Order: sequence, then C-alpha cells, then structure tokens
Amino acid sequence: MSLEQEIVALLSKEIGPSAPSFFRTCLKNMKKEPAALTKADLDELSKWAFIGIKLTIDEKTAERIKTALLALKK
Amino acid sequence: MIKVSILLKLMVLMVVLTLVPLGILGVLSVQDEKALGMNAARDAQIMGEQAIADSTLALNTIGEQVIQQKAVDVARQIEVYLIDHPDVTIRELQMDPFFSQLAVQPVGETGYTALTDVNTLICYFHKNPKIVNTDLHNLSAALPGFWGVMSKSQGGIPVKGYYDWKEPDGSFRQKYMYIAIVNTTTGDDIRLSVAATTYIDEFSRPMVATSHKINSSVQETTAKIKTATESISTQNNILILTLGTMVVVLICAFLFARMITGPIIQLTRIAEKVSLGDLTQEIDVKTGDEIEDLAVSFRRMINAFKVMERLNREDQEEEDSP
Repeated sequence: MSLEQEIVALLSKEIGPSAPSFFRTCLKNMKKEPAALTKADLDELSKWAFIGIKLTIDEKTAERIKTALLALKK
Repeated sequence: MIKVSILLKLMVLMVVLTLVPLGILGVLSVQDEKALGMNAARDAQIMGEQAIADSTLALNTIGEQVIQQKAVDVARQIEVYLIDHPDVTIRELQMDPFFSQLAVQPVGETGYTALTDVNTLICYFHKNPKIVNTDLHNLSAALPGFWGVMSKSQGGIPVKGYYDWKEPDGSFRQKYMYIAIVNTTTGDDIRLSVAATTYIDEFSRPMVATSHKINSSVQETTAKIKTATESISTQNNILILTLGTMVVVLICAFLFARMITGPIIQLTRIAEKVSLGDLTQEIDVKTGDEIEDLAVSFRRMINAFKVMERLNREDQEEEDSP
C-alpha cells in the first residue's frame, strides 16, 4: 500500500468519502503532487490537516487525525 | 398501521416472558400443594387402617388364646370333679347345681362353655336350656359353620375355628370356638368335651373406637388441607407474588429497554436535524455495543458532509474570485 493510500485510508476513518478530496486539498496547500509525497512531508501534512479539520469539524477530531498521520512516520 | 415503539415492544416481551412462566409455576405449585396434602392424608389413612388391622389381628389372637385357655381350664376342672366322683352318671351330674356351674361358665362378655358327648355329640350342659340333651347333628343345616367346627371334635379331637352366628336382626357376627377334651369319663362311661365360644369382636372392640377416631381425624385433616389449598389467603399470596414480580419486571424492563432505545432515539433526532441541513450536531454515544458502532459511522458521515460542504464552498469561492 502506497503512502498516499495509507493516508486516504486513515482519513476515511474520520471523514468517510470526503477523505480523497480533503487529502488533495491539503496537498494543494502544500504545493505537492501525490506521487512526490514522502514520510518527510507528514509533519507539514499533519499541520494542514489539523487546521482544516479543526475549522471544519472540531479540535478533538483534528487532534486524532494529526496524531494518526504522525504515526505513519514510524 | 399502528406504530409501536421498540421500548413498548421490549417491555411487553420481557413482561410476557417473565409472567407466563411465573403464572404456570403458580398454577403448578397450587396443584402440587393440593396433591401433596391429599397424598399425606391418604398415606395417613392407609397407615391408620394398617395399624387398626394389625391391632385387631393381635387382639383377636389374644381373644383366641383366652377362649382356648377357658376351654382347657374348664376341662381340667371337670376332670378333677369326675376323678373325685367316679360313679356319678350324666343324669346325676345334670341334677348337680355345682357341677352345672362348673360346666357352664362365662367366656368373655357374652360367651359361655358347654359340655357335649364326644361320641354322640349330644349336648348335656348349655346356657340355653332348650339345647340341653339335644343332638347337635340337628343344627348341621341351620348352623353349618358351627357344625363344621363341632363335627370335627367327634371322637374326642380338640378343635378350634371360626363360624358365623346369625343375630336376631338377621345380621351375622363371627364367633370363635375351642373344644377341649375331658380325659375322664362319667360313671356311665360318657366322655365329654368342653366347648368355649364367644364373639371374637368382643376382644377387638376397642379398635372400633380407635378406628372411628383415626377416620374422623384423617377426614378432619383432609378437610383442613382442602380448605388451606383452596383458601383465599393462598390464592392471595400467589396474586401478590405475581403482582410484585410484575412491578419489578416492569421497572427492570423499562430501564433495560430505555438503555437500548435511548441512544437510538438520540441518533434518530440527530439524523432528523442533519437531514434538514443542520451539521452542527454532536454525537456522544458510549454504549460499548453495536449502537456505539452505528454512532461512530453516523459521526463519520456527518464529518464527510461537513468536509465536502467546506470543500465545495472553497471551490465555489475560487471560481467566483476574479
């Protein structure tokens, strides 16, 4: 499973079918292509995801997603 | 179609599942109680009857021994008298008041002894003067039972036995007779036998009163058991138990059903608001079961709606910007 797929699967657990779109929006903000994404980018991705989810849903969910994304670095 | 809530369905189900077995148990317990009581009364009656039968048999045996002893004693007394008066004939003996008293003695309450020639079976001494000097063969047709015992003594054989005696009212009572042989002859060479006889129920009569007492006691106990098992108090106890159980079951059923339906009602209300466009609803269901799984899925769906709505709005804003 690629990193992109792992991230989408992880996001899907919290935000369901909107996960791919949200992921693409985050990459757009990071100015990154999905194929070029590496584990080194997970810190920045988690920040964008945290901000986006906090604004859209709530801080608790944002925190859970951020923690899960950072766990992918290991 | 009438809508019936899950809460009501669960409550009805639990009440029915609890009360139906309780009702059956109640009915069965009342029946068991009745059967137990009746069995106890019947056993008591059987035991009483057995005790009466055993006691009657024992008393009859004692009666038989008393009658036998009386016949033997009188025979010995006659022997002593005849040894002392060896030349006295039977006619002279019949004229002798002392010997008559010796020959006819009471046995029990109504019985008596009588002397008979063992060879001819002519009765020489009897309580009833009409029978004196009568050949007992003449009674063989009228009193076959008596004759059955008496005839066996012919020739000088000691015998014993029961026979039915017809009472003046036409009923029959059982008598026991023992015939002892006098071992000395009279002056005119007549050999005598002593027959001692009386009603055997004279000896077992106390058991009749005891039997009445036992029967009335058993009947009283049976009536008490019947009254107790059919009493209002017993039925009231079962009714109170049933009602008490019903109240407890209703409370438990309500609490249990609400524990299940509460989160479902909460999710239903949130779903109604979300369906009307309100995505601000917070879902807080922690039941640790399938309902919590449903709540998590539902929250994920709302989150997806929120994200897609925001992304759509951002796309729209980008399109609208110059």
